[in-house]
Amino acid sequence: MENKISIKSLIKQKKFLMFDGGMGTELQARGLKTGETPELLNFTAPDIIKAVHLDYLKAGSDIVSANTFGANRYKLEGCGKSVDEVITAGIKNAKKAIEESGKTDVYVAQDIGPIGQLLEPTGTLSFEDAYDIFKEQVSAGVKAGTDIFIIETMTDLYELKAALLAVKENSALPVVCSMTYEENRRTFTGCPIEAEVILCEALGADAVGINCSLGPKELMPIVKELCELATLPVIVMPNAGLPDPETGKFSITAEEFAYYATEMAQYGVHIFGGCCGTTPAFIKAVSEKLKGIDRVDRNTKKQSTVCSGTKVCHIDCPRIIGERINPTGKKLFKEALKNDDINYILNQAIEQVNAGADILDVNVGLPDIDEKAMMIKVVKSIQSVTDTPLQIDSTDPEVIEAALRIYNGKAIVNSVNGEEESLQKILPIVKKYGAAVVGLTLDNNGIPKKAEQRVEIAKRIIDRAESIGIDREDIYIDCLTLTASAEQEAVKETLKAVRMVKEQYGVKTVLGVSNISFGLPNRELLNHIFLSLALENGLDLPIINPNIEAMTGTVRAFKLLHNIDVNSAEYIAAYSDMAAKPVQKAESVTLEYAIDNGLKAEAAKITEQLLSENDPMDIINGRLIPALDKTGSLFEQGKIFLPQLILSAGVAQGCFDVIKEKLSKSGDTPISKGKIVLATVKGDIHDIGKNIVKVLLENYGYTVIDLGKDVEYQAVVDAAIKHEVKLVGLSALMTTTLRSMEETIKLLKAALPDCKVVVGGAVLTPDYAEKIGADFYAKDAKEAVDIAKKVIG
Amino acid sequence: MIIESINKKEALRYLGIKGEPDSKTAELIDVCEKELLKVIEPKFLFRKFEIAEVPDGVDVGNGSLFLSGEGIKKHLVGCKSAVLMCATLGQGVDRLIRQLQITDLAKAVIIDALASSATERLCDYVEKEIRSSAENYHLTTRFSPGYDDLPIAIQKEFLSLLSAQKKIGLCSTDSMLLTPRKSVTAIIGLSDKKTRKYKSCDNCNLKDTCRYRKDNNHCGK
Repeated sequence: MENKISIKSLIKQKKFLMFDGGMGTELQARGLKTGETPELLNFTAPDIIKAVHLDYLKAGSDIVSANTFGANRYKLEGCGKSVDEVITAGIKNAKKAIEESGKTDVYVAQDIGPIGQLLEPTGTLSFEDAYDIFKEQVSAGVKAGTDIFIIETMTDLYELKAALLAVKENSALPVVCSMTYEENRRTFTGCPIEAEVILCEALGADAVGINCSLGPKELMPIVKELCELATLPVIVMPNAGLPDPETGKFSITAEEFAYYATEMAQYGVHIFGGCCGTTPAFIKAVSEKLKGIDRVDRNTKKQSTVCSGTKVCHIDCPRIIGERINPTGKKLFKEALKNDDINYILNQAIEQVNAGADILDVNVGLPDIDEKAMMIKVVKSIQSVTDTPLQIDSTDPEVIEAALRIYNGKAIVNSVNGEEESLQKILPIVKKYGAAVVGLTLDNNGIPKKAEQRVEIAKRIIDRAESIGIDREDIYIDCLTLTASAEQEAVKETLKAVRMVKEQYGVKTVLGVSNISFGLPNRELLNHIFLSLALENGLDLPIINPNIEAMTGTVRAFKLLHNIDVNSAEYIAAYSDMAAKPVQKAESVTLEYAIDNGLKAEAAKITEQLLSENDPMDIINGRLIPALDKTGSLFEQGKIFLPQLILSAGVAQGCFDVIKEKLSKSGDTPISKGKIVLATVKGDIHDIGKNIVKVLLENYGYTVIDLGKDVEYQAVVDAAIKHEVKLVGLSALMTTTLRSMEETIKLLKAALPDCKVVVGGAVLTPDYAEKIGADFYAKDAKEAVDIAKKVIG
Repeated sequence: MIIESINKKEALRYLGIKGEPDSKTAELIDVCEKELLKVIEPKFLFRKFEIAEVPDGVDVGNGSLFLSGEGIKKHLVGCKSAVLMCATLGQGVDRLIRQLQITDLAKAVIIDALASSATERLCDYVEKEIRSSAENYHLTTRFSPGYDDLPIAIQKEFLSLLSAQKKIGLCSTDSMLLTPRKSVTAIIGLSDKKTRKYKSCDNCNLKDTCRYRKDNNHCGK
C-alpha cells in the first residue's frame, strides 16, 4: 500500500483531472442486450471492455473506471461468478487497456455503485450488512490492484457512509464520492448536497461531487452550491443532457457538454467526467476545452455543522440540544429501557423536536442493561422517525464508537474531558468518524473554581484534539454549570469562562443549563434567566428541556433581539396563534365523551382531576375500561370503524400515561396484567396492524414487548424467554412472509411449549393459522384483546 | 402534479368503513389527505418490449425477462408486445407513516389507506400515458408479479430491467416487497385486437380472505 497516489497532488500536477464517460452507453452501442449483467462482460467480452477503456484513454481520461459498478454480492447473486472474480477481471481489463495505451500517468478506479436494495428504515438491508457487502468489494479491489475507488450514483447518505467506511477501513487508497440529485436538489431519499459534503469531509474522502440524473445545464445551480460548501476537491460527471422520453436518446452534443464544463471550472470544479449518454467524444471535447482555461482554486472555509441523512444543522447561532432522552432520575424512562420499550423513547424524541429542539442528546446508560446494544437500537430507531441530528452521550468509548458507526450523518460526541485517559480514548474515535465533540472543562482534580483554570483545561483539550487532526470548528467547549444553591459564587465564573473560551479560541460553546437551579424552588425561573445570561456571554448550544416553553422561548427571544431571527419569522411562526387558541374547558366534557370523540388533551386533563380525588385503579376499572369496552363492542357491531377505534384507544392511552406518571412519582409500581411479545415477522415490513393491536392491549393493562417489524425468528424466542411471557402475537401481511410466521412458531414451540401464539394479518385464515401451529387466530385488534384475557387473565 | 386529490371512497373501503364516515372521521381524513399530498413525489417508468409465448410462460424482450405461469400467459394471449411499468409515491410517505405510528396511530392508518389509493391513481395515470403512446393498440388490464401464478420473485429482475433504482429510486427487499412501500410493478399487454378482461376473483390469491367478497362485492372497477 505504498506509493499512495494523492488526488490533491494529481490535480496540482495536471491542473484538472479527467475521469471517463458512460460505460453502459458504449456497451449498448456495441450490442450489449439490456437485462444482462454488464459486469459479466469482463469475462465474456473482455476485448470490448478494453476497447471502451482504450477509447476513453485516447480521448484524454486520466482515470478509467473499471466495469465493476454492480459487482456486489446482491446483484451478482446467481450469475455464476463471485464478487472477487468479477472485480479482479474488471480491474485487469482496465489495466491492460492502460498498458496498451502506452500512457504512464493514468490510473484505474474501482467503480462502486449502489447495492440495489434500500437500506433501513425504508428498506430492510441493515447498515452492518451493507458495510459487509462493500467490504467484500473493496478487499477484492485492493487485491486486484486498483489505484483509486470511486463510489458513485448514490442516493442514500447512509449507504454512502457504509461504502466510504468500508474503503477507509480496508484500504489506504484514495476515494472519490459522488451522489445523484433530482431537480429539487435532493436525492431520492431526501439528502441535500450539504449533507454529502459534511459526511465526505468527516470520513476523509479525497473528493466529493455529483453525477448522473441530469445534464450539465440542469446541474449548474447545484454545482455552484457544492463548490461554495466543499473544502475537498469537487468532481462532476453529468449525463449527456436529458433523455428523450420516446427514444431514450440524450439531448446535448459533446461541444455543449464541454461548454458547461468550462463554466463549472469557473466555480472551482477540478475533476470531470461523464455519466449516462456520454461517449469518448464528450471526454475529448472537455479535455480540449479545459486546456485553454486556468484552474480556479476555491478557498472554502469549514463551518461548524452537524447533520443527519436528510438535514443539516449549522451551529452559526444558538441551537437547542434536547436533554430528555436520558434515564437519569426518571423512573418511567428506566422502566422503558428495561422493557425494550423503544416507542417511549421515540415519543420523547418527537416531542422535543416539535417543541423546538435542533439536536437531540441520546443517553441510554443504565447499570443493568447492555448499553451498547441499546444505544445502537435507539439511535437507529430515532433516525427512522426524525431527521434531527443527534448527540451521542456516553462515558463508554465502545458505546460511543458503536453509535457513531451506525449513525446516518455527522453527530456530536458528549463528551471528552481534560483527563489523560479520556483524551486518549475518546478523541481518536471522534477523529475516525469525523464527529464534533463536547469538551468538558474538568480533569482529575475536578472542576476548577476559577474561570481562568477552566479555560486552561479547554486549551488543553483543543490542543490535543487539533494535534490528531480534529478541526477547531468541531470542538465545542462546555464550561460546566454548577448548582447555584451550593456554589453561588461559581455562577459568574461559568459565565466568564464561556465568554473567555469563545473569545480566546473561537470555539463553539455548550452548557447544560438546568443544573443551575437544583435544590431551589421555582426552578423554571432561574433556568431561563441563567440561560439568557449564558446566551449573552456567547453560549451556542444550550442543553435544555425544550418542552418547557420558557426555555425554548428564551432562545427564540434571544435570536429575535439579536437580529439573528431576521424579520422575526421564527418567533412569529412559533407564537402567532397563541392568542387565538381557545381556553379548553375540561369541565364541559366527561371522560367517556372525550374517549368517544378522540379528545386527547381533554381526556388527559380530566384524568388528572380525577386522580386528585380517586384511586387510580378505580379510574381504570370504573371509567376507562368500561369506555373502551363500549367502543370495542360498537366496533364489533360495525357501528364504528377502525379509525374511531384507534382514536379512542389513543385517547385512553394518554389517560393511562397520566396515571402511570402519577404512580411512578408516588413510588408505586405501574400496574400491569402481564407481558406479551408482539412482532411483525421476518421479511415483512407492514407493521401498522401490529401497532394497532399493541395500543389496544396496552389499553387493557398488558405490557407489550414490541419487537418491531422484520424480526428474526430467534429474536422472538429470545424475547419470550427473557420476559417470561405466556403469549406471543405475530403479524404478517404478505403471503410471501407466512413462511416466516410458521418458522417462528416452530422455534418458539420448541423452546417454550407452554407459550401460546396468536397470529393475525390480511392473508391469514383461521384454518391456515391452525395449520402453521398457532394457538389462536385474531381477525382484528379487539379479538386479540379477548384472546389475551383468555390466556393471561 | 400528477395527483392532486385522492379517491377517498376507495380509501374508506381500505379502512373498512361502510357507508359515509361520521363527521369527525371525515374531517380527519381531509387533514390526512393534505398532509399526504405534501409528501408524495410520484415517479414512474415504463418500457415496451416484444413478447413471445413459450411453453411455461412468456418471454419478454427476447430473453431479457421470463414471466412464468399460466396466468400471465392467458393474460397476454394475442399480444405481440407488452409494456412493463413501475410507479412509486417515493420515500416521503414511508417516513410520514413511520412518524405517525409513534405520535398518532389513527392518522397513520388513514394515511396508509389514502396512500394505497393514491398509488392506484398513479397507476391509472401511467396507464393513460401508455395508452397515448400506443394509440394503435388495445391494452390489457394491469397484471403484477404475485398475481395468480406469476411469481413475486421476479421483482428484482423486473426492476433491474427497467433500471428502476437509478431512475425512480425503486427497489425490492429480500422477501420481494417493493420499497418505498407505496409502489407498484405491472405488465400491460398490447394487442391489435380487443383484449378480453381476465381479471376475476377466481384467480386471485386473496379470494379466501377477501373482505369485499364477504359482502358480495369485489375490488377494482
